[in-house]
Amino acid sequence: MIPRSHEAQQRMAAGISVAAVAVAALATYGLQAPTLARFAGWTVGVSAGAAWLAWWKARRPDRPTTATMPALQLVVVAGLLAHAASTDAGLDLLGVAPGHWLDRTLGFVAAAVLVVGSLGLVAAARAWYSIAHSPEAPLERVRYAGLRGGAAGLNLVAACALVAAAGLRDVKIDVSLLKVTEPSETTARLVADLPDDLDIRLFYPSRQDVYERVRPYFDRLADLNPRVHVERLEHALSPELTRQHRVPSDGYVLLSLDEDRAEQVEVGLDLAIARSRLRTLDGRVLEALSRLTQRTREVHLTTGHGERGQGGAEAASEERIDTFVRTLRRSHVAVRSLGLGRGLGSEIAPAVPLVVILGPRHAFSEEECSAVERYVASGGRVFAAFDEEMSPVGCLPAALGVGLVPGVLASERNHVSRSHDAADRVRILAKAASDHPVVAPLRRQRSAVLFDRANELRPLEAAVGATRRLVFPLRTEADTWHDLNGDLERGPDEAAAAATVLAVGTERTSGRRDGRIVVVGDGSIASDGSLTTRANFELVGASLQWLLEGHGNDRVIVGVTTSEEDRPVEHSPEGERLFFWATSFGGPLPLLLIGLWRSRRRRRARTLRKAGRSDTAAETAAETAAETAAETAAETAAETAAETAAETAAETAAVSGDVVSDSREEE
Amino acid sequence: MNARFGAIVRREVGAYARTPMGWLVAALVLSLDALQLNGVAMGSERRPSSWVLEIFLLNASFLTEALAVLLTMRLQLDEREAPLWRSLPLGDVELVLGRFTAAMLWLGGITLATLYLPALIFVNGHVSLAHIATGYASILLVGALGLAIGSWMAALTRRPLTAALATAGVLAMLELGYYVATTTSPPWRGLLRDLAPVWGRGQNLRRGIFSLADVAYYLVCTTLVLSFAVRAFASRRRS
Repeated sequence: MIPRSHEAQQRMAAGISVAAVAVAALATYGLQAPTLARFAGWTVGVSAGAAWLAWWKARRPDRPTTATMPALQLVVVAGLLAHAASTDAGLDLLGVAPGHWLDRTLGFVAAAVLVVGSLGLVAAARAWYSIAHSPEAPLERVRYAGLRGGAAGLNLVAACALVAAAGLRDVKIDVSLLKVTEPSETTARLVADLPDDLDIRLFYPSRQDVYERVRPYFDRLADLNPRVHVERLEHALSPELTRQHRVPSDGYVLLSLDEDRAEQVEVGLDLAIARSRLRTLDGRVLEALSRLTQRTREVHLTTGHGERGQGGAEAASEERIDTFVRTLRRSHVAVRSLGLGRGLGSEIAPAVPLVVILGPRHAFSEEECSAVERYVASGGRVFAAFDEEMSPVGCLPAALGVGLVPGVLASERNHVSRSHDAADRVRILAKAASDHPVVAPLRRQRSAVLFDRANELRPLEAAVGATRRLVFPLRTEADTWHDLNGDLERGPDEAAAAATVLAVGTERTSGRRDGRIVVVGDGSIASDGSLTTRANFELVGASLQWLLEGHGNDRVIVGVTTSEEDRPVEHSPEGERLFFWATSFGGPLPLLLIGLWRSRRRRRARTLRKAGRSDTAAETAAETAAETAAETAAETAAETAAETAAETAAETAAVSGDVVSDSREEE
Repeated sequence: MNARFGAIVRREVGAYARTPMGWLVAALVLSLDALQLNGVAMGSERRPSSWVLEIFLLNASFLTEALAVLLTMRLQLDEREAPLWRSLPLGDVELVLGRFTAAMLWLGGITLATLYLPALIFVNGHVSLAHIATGYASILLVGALGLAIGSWMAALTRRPLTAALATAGVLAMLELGYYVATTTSPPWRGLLRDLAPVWGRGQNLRRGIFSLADVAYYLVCTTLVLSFAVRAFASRRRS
């Protein structure tokens, strides 16, 4: 039996451990760096009380014990002491400044020792209590349990250390398509034409994830123009520059032409957060460069006729023009409104660089049409997009020199699906067939523009004369028809032919610049829904660029940026239905069949085995029966034969005996 | 050890393949993955391809966790045969790791059989192949962690259903920790978020970002939990 004094000692040690845990917890989380006297008072008082309580409760001498538990309790106490030393009060006592390597080491050591000791102690205590009432039980079990618990604690500590180390030395590789791409053609053109030196400073620490992704993009810009210089700086090491340009921290890109003219682009330091900014990096760099290098221009959007863009943020994407406005802003072009109160009803100022008419639903008045006509004749520029939703059509098309052919254009084959029914037939495609600057990018890329409920445009003979020239550089496919009755089916009187949906005109004037117009037979061409199609974006961008040319000395650059790398998934009706059934049920079916086949095969094998066993049993029974029968028969035969033989022999013997006796008698 | 370990793995994989239930579960997972791709990830509006893939991978990760819970029921050693497995001339590590490896092979096979689903995004959209690879790596790592927890629970409990429920409970607590983290302050916030296998740790891999820290977390946690499973099984075997 274990002496009583060991028992008491063990209980006291346990009490001290509990007290120390309580004190350490109070010191760490409750009192927050108490004075040394207060800390010591708590420790001594609580420990003494707990130890006395433990001794008093441990007077029963009938329980076995080993040295394992006190040893593990000492480990826990050591962990608690290390923890106490890592608190503010402990560090003060040791004379170690917070943040010192000893501070971090003490914190880690305390946690590790506490985990190892506690798990070992719990496991040993569990084993000890399980054998407490069995004096003959081996005490070795307590030691093994303590060792196992301690080993589990070590595993846990090692695992935490490994995960923490991997977090500190994390390596991230972005393998998705959502990464920084090459500069867009628009940005490249702007950079290539820069007449002044441009300094691009990337504020990043060395070997940083986001920096590694951003740097090649700016290096590519530097390759386009020898006047562009790229360098990496650290925010903390460039106090004057960051103060001068108000760069708040690392993670920013500073673009500067000189000491006064600079723009900054925020990218960020954390890759997960910076991803969305990286996707739009090209557009934001273009915006910053445009602000730096180009003066502000204005575009005037007509209002008061139910134009697109007036439905607010909650309107459908075909009604919003946020992308259009954002694109103009990126090119440092301000958007203003032009209504009756600002000259649309009387005289549009010749200084207005560009008037934009986006999908009006109500007709322009005669005065407004006349003002637009005079504006173009005086060298003004107009971008107009309308269709027969403008009801009544009114005088606007004629003022621009075009006529609107009735009937929405539809095609059975050359359309893009959305609702997967006949309504998709009015979402037609048109390919560029001319080398006019407005459609040149489309022709170069061989891409098709998507028109939704468009109308064909025809030249008005009366409007075209010696001073005005009109061309139609974009056509639909030859299977397009004008849906006159709105049934979306091609009727006998709805002939199919290629239709012109874009008109581009120039008006020669006596002034410094010619008037220019671009008319699109689709009122929603500049809407958000339409501009998700890259070709539509190219068409609108190239049109605005051509229209704004010649206004001032420098050229404006409006175009697509490389922020739309993530291609949206297009839905097609037939394909989706097929994929749905094929993948949801066709794919798993073979697995089900394999399962059924294997199950059946197994069942059959089992049946065969059973049948085999019964055949064998029958055969065995038959053989046994035959053998038994044969044996019986043999035995019977033998017996019979023996009996017969015996009888015969006996008879013979008898006869012989008779004969012998007779002969003996004769003798 | 190798020969015996291989024999256990072969026997267990064979057991999965022999029963119709193994194939039924595989077919069910494939079907559910296809349905969630068509119905949830693709949606009805035009979504960016990478977004579609990310949603698919997120849902597939949760399905894999559910599959791991189901397979946990087979990781449980039948208590009625306790005298047999207690007396088998096999080590605890061989038994636990052998059964875990077999379940992992089955789970991995089912997961890789769904590879044709994200490939469908290429029909109408475009994603990077490496993005699909990192996403599937995250699904397999989540499955391995789920099965390791299942092995541990199977060693601690005596009934397959209890083991499965305990595994589901542990996984649910880890995942819910991600949302509980929002109500806590540092350092608990970061800790709870990082512990969630799908919501927290799977984020980067799902987005196509290979992160060494995340992969290390899955591997280290799986190894740690398996070591606990071996200890718990050894203790149960000798009790």
